[in-house]
Amino acid sequence: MWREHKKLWKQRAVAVFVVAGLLLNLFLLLRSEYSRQSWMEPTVSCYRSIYHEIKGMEPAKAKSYLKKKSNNQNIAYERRIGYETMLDEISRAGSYDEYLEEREKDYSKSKVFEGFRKSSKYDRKDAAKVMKMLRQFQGSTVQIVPSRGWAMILLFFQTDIAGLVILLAAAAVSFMQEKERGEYFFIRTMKRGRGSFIIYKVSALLLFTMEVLLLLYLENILVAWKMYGLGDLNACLQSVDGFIGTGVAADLKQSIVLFLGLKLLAYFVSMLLILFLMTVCGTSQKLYICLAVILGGSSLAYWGISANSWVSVLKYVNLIGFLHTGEMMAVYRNIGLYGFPVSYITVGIVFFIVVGILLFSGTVFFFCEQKIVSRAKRHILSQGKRQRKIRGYRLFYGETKKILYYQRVLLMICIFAGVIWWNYTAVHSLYDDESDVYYKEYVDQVSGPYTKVSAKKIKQWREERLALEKQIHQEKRKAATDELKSIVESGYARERKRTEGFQVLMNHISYISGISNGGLFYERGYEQLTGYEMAWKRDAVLALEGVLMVILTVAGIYSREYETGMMRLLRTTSRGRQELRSAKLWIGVGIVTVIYGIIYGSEFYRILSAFGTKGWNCSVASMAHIPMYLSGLAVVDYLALISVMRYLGFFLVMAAVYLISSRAKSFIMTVVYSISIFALPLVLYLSGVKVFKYVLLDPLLLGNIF
Amino acid sequence: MEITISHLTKRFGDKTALDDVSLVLDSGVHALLGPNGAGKSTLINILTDSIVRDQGEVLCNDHEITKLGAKYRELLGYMPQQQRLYENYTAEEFLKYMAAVKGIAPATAGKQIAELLQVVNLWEVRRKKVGGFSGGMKQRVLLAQALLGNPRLLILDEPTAGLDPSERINIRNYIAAVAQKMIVLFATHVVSDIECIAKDVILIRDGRICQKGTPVELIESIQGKVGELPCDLDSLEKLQERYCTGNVYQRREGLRVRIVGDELPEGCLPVRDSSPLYCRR
Repeated sequence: MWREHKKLWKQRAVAVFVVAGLLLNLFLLLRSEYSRQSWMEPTVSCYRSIYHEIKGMEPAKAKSYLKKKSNNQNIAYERRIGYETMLDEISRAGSYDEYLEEREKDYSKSKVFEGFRKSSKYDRKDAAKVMKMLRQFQGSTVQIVPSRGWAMILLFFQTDIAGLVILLAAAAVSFMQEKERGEYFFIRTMKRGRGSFIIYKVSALLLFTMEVLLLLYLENILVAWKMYGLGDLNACLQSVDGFIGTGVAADLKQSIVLFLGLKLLAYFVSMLLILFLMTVCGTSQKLYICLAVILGGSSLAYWGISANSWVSVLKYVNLIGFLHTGEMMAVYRNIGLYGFPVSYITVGIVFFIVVGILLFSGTVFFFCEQKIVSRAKRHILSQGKRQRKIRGYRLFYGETKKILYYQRVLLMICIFAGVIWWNYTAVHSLYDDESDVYYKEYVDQVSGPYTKVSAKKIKQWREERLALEKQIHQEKRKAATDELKSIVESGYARERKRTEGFQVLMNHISYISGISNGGLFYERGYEQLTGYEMAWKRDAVLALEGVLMVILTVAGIYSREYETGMMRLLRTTSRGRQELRSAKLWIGVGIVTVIYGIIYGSEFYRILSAFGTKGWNCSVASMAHIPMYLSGLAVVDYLALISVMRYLGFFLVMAAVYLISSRAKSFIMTVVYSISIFALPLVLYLSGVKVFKYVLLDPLLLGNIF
Repeated sequence: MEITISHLTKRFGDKTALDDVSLVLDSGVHALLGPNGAGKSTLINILTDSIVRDQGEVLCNDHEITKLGAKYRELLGYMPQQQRLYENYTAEEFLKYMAAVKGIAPATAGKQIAELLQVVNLWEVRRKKVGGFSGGMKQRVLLAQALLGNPRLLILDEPTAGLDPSERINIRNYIAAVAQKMIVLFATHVVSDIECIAKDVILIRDGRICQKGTPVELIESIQGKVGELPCDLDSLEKLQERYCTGNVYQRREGLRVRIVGDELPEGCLPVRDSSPLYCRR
């Protein structure tokens, strides 16, 4: 085992990934702290100095001190924000009994209402168990600790993203690559080439996993300690902001150990899952798909399912859920198992152990029992005995057949298209609220450039609205009592909404008046396509889907030639260089175009078929979130621009994957490198690290970066 | 057609893989013999334009092959030693693909593929996946693809490895037949493969050509320097330490060892054989 472990660390690719992962983690940690906006939350130095001011104070005194400071107008605004933030953070400091009292009150209320609403037997058991867990802390003291530092250690999920990539790279280099090179074919013929070998291999990788975890989290602990300090390590875990509801009866020292222990188990299960899939999957492509489905499914379940949903168990009992170890510990939660509430942490530990054992055993079993040499099967298309005349074909056809059929790229694209179609959901609502309905009604009648005709219409509506307001005012004056006034008001509620809608239109008019080719149109649909507010997440998800598909489909185009040694033979032929390169390039372009069409074609269709295309010839800067320097572009031009950018981004990803695969000469390593370079920045951007919007090809892939 | 190699040199770091090698190859079979690390693969890689040489030139009909580019590769048929192919392809499909990469017209390719599959005895399994073939069958697929397009220069790297004796004879005879119209460079360790069909034998060692000639010339050159000596296991070890020995044979009367050297030990019976070429010091 030690030899395998040593061999693993000697691999240059592994060392590079570990170092890169540590540097990335460090960068993300520093970035997340130093990019705080001082007018919204205290900067690092501000927080540190404020904490230093209250360090050692009794909680009540500290709260009073911070309150005074935050109300003192003579203090700079940013500093006051710092005092307010700190006051919020330490709001629970002091006696734990205050918090317990609040929970007892809520619990009592819920018991009173049980008679009026149907709460299940499980809900009652769950609530009772939660209270029982919290009561054990009665009499405890919640102290003041630098919660930001602890959040960097316990709640920084980006560290685990870096960790997973390192684990995948190590497993790929140490296990999958050797499998692809056919090395196991010989090893398996030896006395210790099966069971012993795989156990040592897996054990070495698990040891490596532990080392990576310790390195990453030691980094987090050191940075947090240096930046903010860790406070009194004897303080209870409830002292960390956001952890008041925890059921963990431990001080901060013990909590770190528990946290690392749980995290280690989660990392072990992750590594075992990767190894199990590598053993069972015959090809790297199947491995990639399985990993994408499992991780993607877990992510969707964790972030997509509500905590109150009846399927919330799927939200928490999955790999991504368990990797959020800090959240696991932050709030005491039960998972319902056969009607019995069981602590989430207990469920987690049992899950890790059971699944870990199953995966470990499964890996060993399948490795030992796998049949590597397949029999010479007849090709499925040549089952017939009819003698066909042999006819050759041209290079481009041959290459297309090899890639689309033999490398199963066409199958993958069809499955992908099927998944997109299956998940297609039409736009449910065209409106943000009721006033939006009226706004759309108005703007549809005057959509397009703001002309004299539309101005006249709008003027007429304005007069109508003013007349209505006057009427409402008069009727309210006539009403004798407040009650009658409110009846009058409620009678005109709908008209009030209409007036609000009209006001939105008026705001738009004043906004577009200074824009050449400025126009009026119902922009809700275009907002979704141009990155307004939360649309950035959708942009990132679509870009990530596209990048992952491009990597999966094109990574094998060159790497398979090198893996099989065929590249050497092909290059000795007359068309095995330039023409072959050209054929692969054009096929790659075709693949990228189809993937792009599936993703963005369906997205554009979904939005534009619901909202229409009215006003798309007007200036895109008519929408307030678009900067003025783009006022010369119409909406349709802007959509075309971001479409071209995204397509170019996908094309460059394809070209880069070609380059990486000709260097890496291995499918699995090409995939690992490509995911690290192109998919990881998008994942980090999605997880909230906004700077990654501008990294590498992300500006092109996301499109809406203006 | 003629291939002229002049003062070819290639270094990999400190190691000189080829050192001032000069050759002229014309129609017929040219055998390339040498121990591992002699420079055979390097020479083949340079001839197939897979690696860049440090010095020297390789001319095809007086034209530098790197300048000819695709035109030179049109004349080239190469059978590598590696056996990893597209596992999912059938033999027929693989040859169709290779024909396409060689730029052979579809109709012509069909005829050639059919003929070659018969020659290499793979017609019956042409629709089975190459991934399930034995090593020898994969060798035959590789040989067939090398012969596609009627190459004028055929480079075969261990073409008979993994083949059974009757297949070896078939392949050997086929190569001998086609070699009249092309240049065949046959790299092998198995002397018996080439001694009957080779026009000349090129002995290479440590990147240099140590000897070149027809098989008969080479055998004549070591007349009186090869003998067989009866021995037993105890004396065999001492003989191996003292002399350059070849094969050890088991006979009814006991062991016999082949010895090569300028001076043969007493009791050694002279023989006339080609195999001692390999253990020439």
